[in-house]
Amino acid sequence: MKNKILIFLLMLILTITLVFNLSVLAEKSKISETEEVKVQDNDKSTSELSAEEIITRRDENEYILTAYSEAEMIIRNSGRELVKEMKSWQDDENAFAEFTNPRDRGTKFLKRDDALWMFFPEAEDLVKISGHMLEQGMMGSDFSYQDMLESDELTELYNFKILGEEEYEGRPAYKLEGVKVPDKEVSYYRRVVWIDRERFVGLKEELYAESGRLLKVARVLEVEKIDERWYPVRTIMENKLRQNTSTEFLVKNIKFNPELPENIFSLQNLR
Amino acid sequence: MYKKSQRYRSFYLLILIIILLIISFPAAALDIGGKASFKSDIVYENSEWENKIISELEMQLFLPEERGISLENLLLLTVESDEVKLDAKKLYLKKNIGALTAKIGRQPVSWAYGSLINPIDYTLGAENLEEETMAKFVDAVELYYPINWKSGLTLVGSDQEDQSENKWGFRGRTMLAGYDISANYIINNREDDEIKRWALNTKGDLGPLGIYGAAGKADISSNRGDYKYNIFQLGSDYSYNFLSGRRLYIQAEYINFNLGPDVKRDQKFDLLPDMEIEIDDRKAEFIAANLTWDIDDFSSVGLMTVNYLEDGSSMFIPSYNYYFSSNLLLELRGTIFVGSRGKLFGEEIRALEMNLSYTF
Repeated sequence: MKNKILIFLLMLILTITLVFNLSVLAEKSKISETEEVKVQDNDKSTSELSAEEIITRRDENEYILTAYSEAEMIIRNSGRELVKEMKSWQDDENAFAEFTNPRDRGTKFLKRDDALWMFFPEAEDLVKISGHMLEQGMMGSDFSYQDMLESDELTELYNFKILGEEEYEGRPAYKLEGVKVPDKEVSYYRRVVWIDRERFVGLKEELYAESGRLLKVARVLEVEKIDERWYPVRTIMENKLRQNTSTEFLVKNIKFNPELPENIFSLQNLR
Repeated sequence: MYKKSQRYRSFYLLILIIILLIISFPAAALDIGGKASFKSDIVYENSEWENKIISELEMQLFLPEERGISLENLLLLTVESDEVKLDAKKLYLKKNIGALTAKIGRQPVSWAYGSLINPIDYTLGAENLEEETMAKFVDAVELYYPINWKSGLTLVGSDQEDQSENKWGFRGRTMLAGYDISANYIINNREDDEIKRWALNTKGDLGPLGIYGAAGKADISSNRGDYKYNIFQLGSDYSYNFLSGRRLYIQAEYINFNLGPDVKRDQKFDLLPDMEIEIDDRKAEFIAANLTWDIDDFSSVGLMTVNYLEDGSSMFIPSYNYYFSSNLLLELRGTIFVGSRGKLFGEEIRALEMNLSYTF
């Protein structure tokens, strides 16, 4: 009888230990899916690529010809949050965005070339926003209007060189430095990027001013394979000029190369 | 605007339309949003204090477009003391007819271009001070014809207080060399006078500065005498990010109303929307400025001033905004007149408005 009880207790302890360990493992796996870049199937690794080829392969994933997306911006400051929701349409030159969260519902933006237009829904004002505002945080976020609404191929804007290869958050990555092409207008003079060596998607990016000062750091927390391309769907941007603030950008739904509504990038559509 | 009875008739008619449309739309397609506000106005005027408590509920139905027609609506329920008032800020039908877009019903008509004061807006001088918040919302028909993505023509016709009073406006807008340019013309037939006004305005960038300007000419035929005046405005805005990440936004503008030789001294004019000005000289000049300082992502302070150069009197409007959460906002706004008695901003006025609003 005593032996039976002993065996039963041992079995119980083993079961509890096993269940506990499994739940910890599951939790760890969940964290690694959300807090770190998701590890899914791997593409063929390449080690003989030039800087331009690496960036071109990244552009093939992240550069948008046309897209429709629904996204959420979570602005955090010292433990507090503001949430903004938006849907946007963009092509290789233009972007149109409409906010859908209650406070900003109906506020719309149109960016064509270097001009930014804004529609305020209550009085239905349609105003051209001054150029200096393009560098400011969009709706109070750490993403500037330029960050959010520009979609240029990086190879056209920056001259890149490989700084090395290193692991970033458990992923093998190329580390590259891009310096702006003379005569090109860009928001950041220099950028250092970590690009996944297997998936060719940006994992981290440091954005610098011409003075060398670090302005912003973007960290990709989650990438997904959508329509045969790896795409960052969860990114955190930290403005290094500000303390205790960050903006998380969550892509909830994205469709590449959709048929865009007629005249979507027009003042008529903004009204 | 209509007379009261006519206004109510059209309002009830539109309510009926909205109900019919709601019934005809599938329930799943409906969405309701709005804003609930609690306001407290403390005013010190003529050595007396007054405190008003106002509750407001704005309701908006988001209806899907049906057969190319959409119904835009924004209803406002106001409760002040024992008085309950229901008004429609917006209640209009919008339909594309070929290339044209037509809007019929109560709607805001705004010809804004980013200035602090718009001396050439559609609603110029048409509203009374107590209707300030409703000033841009008129019963109107608007036709918009797009020429290309950046250019379009707008024709607006609206009713005034009486059906014999009406207003017509025409506006063309385009972009040239990075500058937003528009021209407008207004004919406003009122009971005591007729105003004809044309104007031009532009907005663009000059290096790191945003710049804008406007020029116009008004002809007034009035039973107080015919007269003309010219309008001129020049303004600039600039924003700067400090290393701490805080942002400063500055905007300032100069406005000049230059009166023709027909003007009699001590005559009163509706030069600015909601502001009747007694002119002692042949010109009226103003400097308006705004300064906004973003303290952090959740709060900002601001100061707007309007200075009347002819008599040196000024109006100061300090403000403070604070977000408790994404949908709960506290706004504080003061109004202080500084000037001796008899001057434009010479009334002994101090006011503090507190507005706590929740959006849903």
